[in-house]
Amino acid sequence: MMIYVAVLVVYLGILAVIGMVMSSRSKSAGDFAIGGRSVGPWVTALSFVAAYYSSVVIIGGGAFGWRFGLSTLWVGAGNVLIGTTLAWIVLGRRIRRFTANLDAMTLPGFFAGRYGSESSRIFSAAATGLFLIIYNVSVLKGMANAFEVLMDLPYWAGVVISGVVILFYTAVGGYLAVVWTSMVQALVMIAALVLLTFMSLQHIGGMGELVTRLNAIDPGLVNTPGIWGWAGLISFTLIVSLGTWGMPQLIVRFYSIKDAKMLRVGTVVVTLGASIALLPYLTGAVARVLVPELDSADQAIPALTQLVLNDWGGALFLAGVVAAGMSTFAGVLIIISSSMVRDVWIHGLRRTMTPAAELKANRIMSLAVGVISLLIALRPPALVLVLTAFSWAVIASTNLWPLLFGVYWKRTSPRATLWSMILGVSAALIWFVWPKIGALPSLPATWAGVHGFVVGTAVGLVVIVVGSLIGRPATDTAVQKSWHGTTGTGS
Amino acid sequence: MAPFGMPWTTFSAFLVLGGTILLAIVWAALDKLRESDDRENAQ
Repeated sequence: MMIYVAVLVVYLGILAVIGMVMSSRSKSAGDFAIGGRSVGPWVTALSFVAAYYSSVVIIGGGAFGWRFGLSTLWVGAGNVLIGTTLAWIVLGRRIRRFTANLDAMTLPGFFAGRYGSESSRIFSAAATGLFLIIYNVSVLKGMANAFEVLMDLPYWAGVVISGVVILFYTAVGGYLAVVWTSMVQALVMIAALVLLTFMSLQHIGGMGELVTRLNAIDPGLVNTPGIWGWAGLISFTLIVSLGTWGMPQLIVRFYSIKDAKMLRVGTVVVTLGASIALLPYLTGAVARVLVPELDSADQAIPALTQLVLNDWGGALFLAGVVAAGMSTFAGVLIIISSSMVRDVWIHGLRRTMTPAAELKANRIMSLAVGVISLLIALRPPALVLVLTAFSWAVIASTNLWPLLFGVYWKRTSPRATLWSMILGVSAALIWFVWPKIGALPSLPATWAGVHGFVVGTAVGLVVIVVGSLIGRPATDTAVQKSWHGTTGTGS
Repeated sequence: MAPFGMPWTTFSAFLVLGGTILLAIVWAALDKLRESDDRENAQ
């Protein structure tokens, strides 16, 4: 126990110090929201990995590996190829250029500039903000559960310890503190996952032995799609991979990088870092052999940790899980606060603010949103937990197509963009609540397995394409400014 | 059978991972070359 406490105190202390150091570099709202577009490629890339993989991915990924076996490795491979490398190649350079041309600090701000549409700004800010809070509650809950299992701490103590440290460094240091702490957290996560994978494979006798023993339990744990089936495997891989293309806490990494050229180094670094995505699924499969009797699949990774790691290793792993959760929570907190202040308060409600007042408002808003998330996480109502699984789908349905088409297709219509957001989110929500309303007829069995993300993004795609073909594109001024900037030089 | 006695359909996840790392390196190299060409053409 003392070892766990010592490792965590040192680790959380380092994060707090980074927050204090970075507070002196956060002098404006631009510094607070996007680090003044001054972040280097290594920090950008590793902080992307840390924000992408939350504690939910480590614990939940392990649970999937335990339940469905080695076919889940494809989810990790999808995270690296689609969710990371292609996102950087396809979106990175253009988003960096467009947001600099438009002087946009938030994703809703980008929509407003690119399409000349304040309605798109407000809708995106409201939908994203609301569902990101729900997502944040689940992240906080995941961290508290890890404290509970690995340190025997009460749930509330886990929520308070993680929440207070994150709130401190985020409110004080802003985006720069978030990315620098995230870089440290990514390194801790990578070390923890590599250690757990190495030790668990050694414990079981290597990969060959793992495959043999999984085959003996059920060949479906080794084959692809195995016991999961194609529908589940493909739709889950798409949700957690393509979904990242519309997640503002990840997209913001492209705005904040110092120079578009740095995306080259960043793309290689982020791909290597993101490769750890396969490890929770692999270790989950190892856990199926080594700890087959569990009350819940979510216990697979903590139980494996206790079996194969000593106290120092266990403490490092707990730090890794906490790191994964903290970096995601902090990244989301910055997005919500800057979006609420800039997009809703200043532009939506037309309030004027001095730069100093905006920075102060960002700090207060990040504290307020963080405290609200923390209070909900202390006793999460059932609705929050149900909606958590859905928050990713709603946010992606809102932002994915308007963002992708916005940087590639000049003809994209502002009105089609807004309706793509509204109808995409509505379709996803209706799909989600339909089976829960008894009075409605049941969906056919083959359709019922399709996730709301697929429905929401499919509807959004049709609406934006058809609507743009028959509707009016954005004004020439908005298009020229987006593509070439006011000076015509771009960045 | 693929290495470790896995079916190829499962082992291919590792091949996709290797291919993705290669893609990132090749894209970065081509992007650098393209920039050098653009700079020379501009001169």
